[in-house]
Amino acid sequence: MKPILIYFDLITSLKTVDEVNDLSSELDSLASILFKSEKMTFEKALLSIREATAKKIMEIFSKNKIDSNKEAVRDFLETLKNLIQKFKIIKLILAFDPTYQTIEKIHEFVSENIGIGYILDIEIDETVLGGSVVIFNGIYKDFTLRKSLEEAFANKSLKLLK
Amino acid sequence: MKDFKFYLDSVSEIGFVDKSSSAIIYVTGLPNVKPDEIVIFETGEIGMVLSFDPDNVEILVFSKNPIAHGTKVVRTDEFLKVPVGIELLGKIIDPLGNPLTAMDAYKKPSLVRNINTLAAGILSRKTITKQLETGVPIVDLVMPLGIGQKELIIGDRKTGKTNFLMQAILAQTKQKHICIYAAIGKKRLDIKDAEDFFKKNNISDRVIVVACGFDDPIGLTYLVPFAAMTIGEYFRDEGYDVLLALDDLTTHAKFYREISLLGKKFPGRNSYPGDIFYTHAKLLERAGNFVTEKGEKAITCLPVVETVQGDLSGYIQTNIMSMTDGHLYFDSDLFAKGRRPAINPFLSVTRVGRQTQSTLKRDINREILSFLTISEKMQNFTHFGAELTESTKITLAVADKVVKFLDQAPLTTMPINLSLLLFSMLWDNILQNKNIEPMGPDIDKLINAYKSKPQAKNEIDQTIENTSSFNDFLKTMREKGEGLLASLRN
Repeated sequence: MKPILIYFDLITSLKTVDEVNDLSSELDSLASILFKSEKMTFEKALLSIREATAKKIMEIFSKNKIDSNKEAVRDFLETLKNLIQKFKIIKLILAFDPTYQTIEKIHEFVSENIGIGYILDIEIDETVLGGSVVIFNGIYKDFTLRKSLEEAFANKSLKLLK
Repeated sequence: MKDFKFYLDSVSEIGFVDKSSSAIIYVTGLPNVKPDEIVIFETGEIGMVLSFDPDNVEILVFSKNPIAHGTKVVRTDEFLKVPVGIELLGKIIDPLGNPLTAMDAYKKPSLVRNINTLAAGILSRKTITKQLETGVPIVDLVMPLGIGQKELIIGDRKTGKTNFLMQAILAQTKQKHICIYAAIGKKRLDIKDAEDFFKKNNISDRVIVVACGFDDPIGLTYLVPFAAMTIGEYFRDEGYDVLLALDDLTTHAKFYREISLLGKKFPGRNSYPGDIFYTHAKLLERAGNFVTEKGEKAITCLPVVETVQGDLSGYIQTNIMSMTDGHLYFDSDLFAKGRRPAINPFLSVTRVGRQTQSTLKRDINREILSFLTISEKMQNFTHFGAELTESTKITLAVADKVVKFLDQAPLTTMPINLSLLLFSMLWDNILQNKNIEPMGPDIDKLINAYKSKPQAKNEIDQTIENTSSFNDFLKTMREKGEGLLASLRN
């Protein structure tokens, strides 16, 4: 098994910038607690982070039979941190606060159509009214209702006012 | 220039501020950005792209307001342009054409020109053939400048360099030329003084001041000489001869060094970036004498450079010396001795000025310069404390008179022909051992009379035009000189 593939499940479960930031700070706090004292064990240190994250990490360790000595844990944490920093960000500006299910659906669409390694950065701006602004790799595309209405008022204002 | 939203919709590219250090901002995004392209921040600030790599775009921002991390940026697909037009005459503006002082009815001209253009090639240039009148006898007679020449004004601080520029601008506006004064990183008070001088002498309508104070954003200050040159090029193409004073390029170099060091460019000699020579050379190369659609028109450029304790061998000083057609050295020792202007003729150089002179002027030039050289040698001789011979004493006394003649009150100008007349009369009196000074104490009255009495002026001008050599001129002056002076005095 290639070493990077062991992180596959954990990485593909991340969908938004917020989730990545949370995981990143959890990895930092896990590392700082674990290496603070000689006596601290990996299992004990895992109690300092969210249960769900701890469970996912433990699953990787057990599934891939990774030793929980400090050297192996350090390698694991460093590789994971590097991997999550390589995500490409798709920024979406929406008119509403999406539910987790909506985010999952959007992310699924992205994974199916573009591939893995992309996360969503969602910004709420009610003035866009509907639709979405998509920003990726510096390219800005406006698919909002606001823009459609602005164009309609600019081009067909006389017809609309009749 | 349109606003942020317009460019966001039309160009459809966006970036986000990643980090900032003073005037330099690093941005992620903007995949198709170009060097020197203008970008607009969502907060309204404007910047210019300095460089980029696959991860970051380095932007020079033209504002003092801090730009927050995460601020959105759009590119404009436009390059930096300066508003140009006749409306600028009499105005004090920053490099982007915004007024610096409260001005009545100022509207930014709608016509714009690219600030960074290539200098015209050799085919559109012509030999310099006309003399530039500065109104300063020591320059006009001893170190003549040509219209279209690039002459460096160099010297320690407070030695009268800016005064000389003001005199040259005053003399040039009288010739109906357009003058542009670029004040780079000057104190607000100095800019105000320049404005007052132009207003007091009623020449504001032919002068444009492009200025940035020392407390203005460094990005804007860096642009001042380029904007001034661009405005100069506009007026040249409109059929005017232009005098451009860049005051001063040492300050400009310091600002550019600050920008480069903030941008993490590798520092070279004295921490200046490696392209400082290129930056100044591409600027000065845009001046010269050109063939335009409206005839032969010139941009005469007088860049100023400051020295420290008279050291002419500094990095920026020697760089700019090598780009210009000579230099006028303002000597702090001469200044301390009371000489005004404190130009040292022995350390000054003019490479093309003499070719513009008539035979008479060249004769006089040679006469003064050789006499000053001899008297300087004798002056050095007196330092040994040796007993002076009678002839040495006479030479030194004559030298005093010549030096006194070349001295001039600050901010006054003397027409070339009047200085030729007065010098020839002084020289003739010396030759005849007469102890009379032709100008006397009323030099200002003579200058005013020359300017206000067209008949007397024409007579003097005609006499000079009809004379081909200094000896002939001396003879003519012996006969007619007193009469000509009397016509001015009455």
